[in-house]
Amino acid sequence: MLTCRAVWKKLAPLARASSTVCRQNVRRAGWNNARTPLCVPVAHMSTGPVGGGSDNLKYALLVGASFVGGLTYAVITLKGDQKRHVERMTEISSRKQKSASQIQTEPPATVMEPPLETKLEAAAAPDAEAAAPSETAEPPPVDEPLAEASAEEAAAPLTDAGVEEAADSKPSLPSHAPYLLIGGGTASFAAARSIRARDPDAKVLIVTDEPDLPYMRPPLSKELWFSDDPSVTETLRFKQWNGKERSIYFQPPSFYVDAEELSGAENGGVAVLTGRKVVHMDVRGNKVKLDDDMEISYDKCLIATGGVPRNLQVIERAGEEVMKRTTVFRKIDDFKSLDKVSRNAQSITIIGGGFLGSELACALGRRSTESGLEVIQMFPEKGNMGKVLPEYLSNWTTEKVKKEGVKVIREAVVKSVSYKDDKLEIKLKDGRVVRTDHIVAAVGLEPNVDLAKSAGLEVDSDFGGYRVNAELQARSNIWVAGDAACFYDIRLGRRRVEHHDHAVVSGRLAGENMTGANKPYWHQSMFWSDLGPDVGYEAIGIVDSSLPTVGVFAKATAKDTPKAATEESGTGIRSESETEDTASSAVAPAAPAPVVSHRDEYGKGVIFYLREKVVVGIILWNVFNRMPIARKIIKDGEEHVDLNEVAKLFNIHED
Amino acid sequence: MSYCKQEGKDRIIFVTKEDHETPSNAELIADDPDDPYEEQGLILPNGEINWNCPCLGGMASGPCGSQFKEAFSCFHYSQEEVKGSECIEQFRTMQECMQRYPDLYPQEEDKESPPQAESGGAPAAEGSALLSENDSPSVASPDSASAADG
Repeated sequence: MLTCRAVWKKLAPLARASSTVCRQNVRRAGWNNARTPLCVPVAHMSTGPVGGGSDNLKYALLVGASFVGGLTYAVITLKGDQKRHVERMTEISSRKQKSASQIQTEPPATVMEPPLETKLEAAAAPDAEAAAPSETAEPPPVDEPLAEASAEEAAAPLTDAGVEEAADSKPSLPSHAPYLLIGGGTASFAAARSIRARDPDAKVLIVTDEPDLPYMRPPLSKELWFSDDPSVTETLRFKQWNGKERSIYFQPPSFYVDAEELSGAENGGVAVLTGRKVVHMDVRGNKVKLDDDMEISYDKCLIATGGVPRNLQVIERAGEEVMKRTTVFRKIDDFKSLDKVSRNAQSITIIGGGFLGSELACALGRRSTESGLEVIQMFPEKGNMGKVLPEYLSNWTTEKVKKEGVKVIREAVVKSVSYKDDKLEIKLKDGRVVRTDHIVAAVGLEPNVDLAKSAGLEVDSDFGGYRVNAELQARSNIWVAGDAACFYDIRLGRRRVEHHDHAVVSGRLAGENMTGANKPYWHQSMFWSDLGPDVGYEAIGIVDSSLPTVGVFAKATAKDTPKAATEESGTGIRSESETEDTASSAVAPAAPAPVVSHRDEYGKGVIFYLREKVVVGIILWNVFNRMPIARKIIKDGEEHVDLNEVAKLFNIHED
Repeated sequence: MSYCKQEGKDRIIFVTKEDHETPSNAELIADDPDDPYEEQGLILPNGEINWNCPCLGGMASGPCGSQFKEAFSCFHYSQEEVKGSECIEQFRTMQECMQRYPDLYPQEEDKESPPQAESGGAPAAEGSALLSENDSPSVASPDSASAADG
């Protein structure tokens, strides 16, 4: 007892001094370890009077026990560090080829030195003062040198451990991207290209939750189905007009830079991080967080998250057997699985009468002639493309779709779907029942606005999607393009467009604005669709069947089909001649087909969509390569008294 | 003879070839060639090259983008009698770069000597000489083209 008090009194000033050092070190190094709590209570105790005898004993036991515990912890940590260091060194040496990681480890090494030294001091100091109140005189002197020795020998490994930790905490993937594009679809790729063209050596990072590099969607419901190649689901290649094949991927993998090498790339590049989802966006801090907790900061950010296909509620509630036999169609995997289904099933039903539903119906319908597959298409409207085409044209189109081998069920509202006798049974509201093997739901797209909440971005209540201005900007450093953007169109008003060309145009524009162009959406995007070899149209602007329309038609000849148009103008994807100057690559036109006049009245023509007497939308019906004129008329926004005169500008009787 | 019918709010006009032979009296507003909002071609109104022109495909944005830009700029601003004759070095550097990415820039015989391409002085022709043979940029072009649907 007395010896304890004596020892205590002797070491009290030392304890007090070391405790202040300890506290200072804690502030500097910011470590939180078992030693820290030891500092504070000891500092307290060093000034207070020591209590009675038994109290003193309890006190001594308590402190002794915590000292031993602390020391044990220290030794274990140091040993663990050493072990980790050895492992890390072997890993680093095997990685020594990658210069990037080497460069990274060096600076952290210098940064880590000072905190490490203070860490060592802190290690030594609490050990020393923890040793102070110990009962026996033995542990302190022994433990002190032991602690110091172990601290010393751990010094070298610790430095490296610190370096390793630094290298560990700095993954080889970039933590900062000057241009961050969220989403890896068409709009994102177009923006990447635009940025690279305008900002030399730009470093662009694309983050996508899909496993694939950026690809184009239209062939998934068109050209890929018409390919003769049995391995098309693997190659994903389709034939262009000139017989040359191309992949649906915008660029092969060699175009892109590895994400790890993006920061060090001398001339910059485009890197794609696949299979990662951005789950949180911090607009104030200019950074995002991924689903694997990685954080990436940015200078400029583009949100091009597209959307998720909608499904019918009755199907989602119908249970697993029904869901298993239902496809929503958007991605490469959906194409692959539907292709497989179409080869095995006897009957497929497509629910939805819009672009996607009709194109898939025609594609599958064409297959049905070879395989005996039954293809059914059902929708609530009166005819195919009922929300786009005026009624007379929608009806005409429906007849054409039927000719492609599709059983069309109009004015069909699905009431329930169930799985019965190994078939799906679709019950319609009017009592009709359809039995089928597989369902494809093509009932629209839900724009992906998952980041709106964390980012504090506005979502449009009328059209859905992020609300952006005419320059596609949501906030100073954030732009939105593609399907997810609800933007202000100077000519046509606020809208949201879900077409491929719009994704390209808006992506390009966003990329331009991200590099300082400050241009509004002005170049009107177009869209097009082919429903079989006889029906093809290009359209631009607002094409809504609820608007009054004026259609000017001529009698069609056999030359006025999409097939003939492609052969004539030498474009496989017809719209190539639209945006590209490569129409100069002239191909000797195929021998002109014999002129046959069709019975059908609506062979070819132009349809104007009017809003308060101004043309806001135009469909070129089986007439091609006239889009610039259509674009001009919409851009002018004039009130034309006689639309027949306007129609003359299109020369619909010519090819 | 043309005739007209009305189906609800939709008007349908059928016209013969003769009906449309007379020139249109519809008025269109004259375009301003310097309109900053408009999509520009390969050469901007101020004479510079528009690297973002869809006609260039991915040439200016790919891994050899900077080499391409240097070679093309040199050619574009060249005042020599044989345009671009002083740009051999830049074109060579560009070719070396492209050879490292054979699946992006397929190596074909005709594409070996870009500075010797005769087609006018226009860099556009230069570009298309390079591009028309090349699957890659025409790979690039349709994607920025309007292959669109719903």
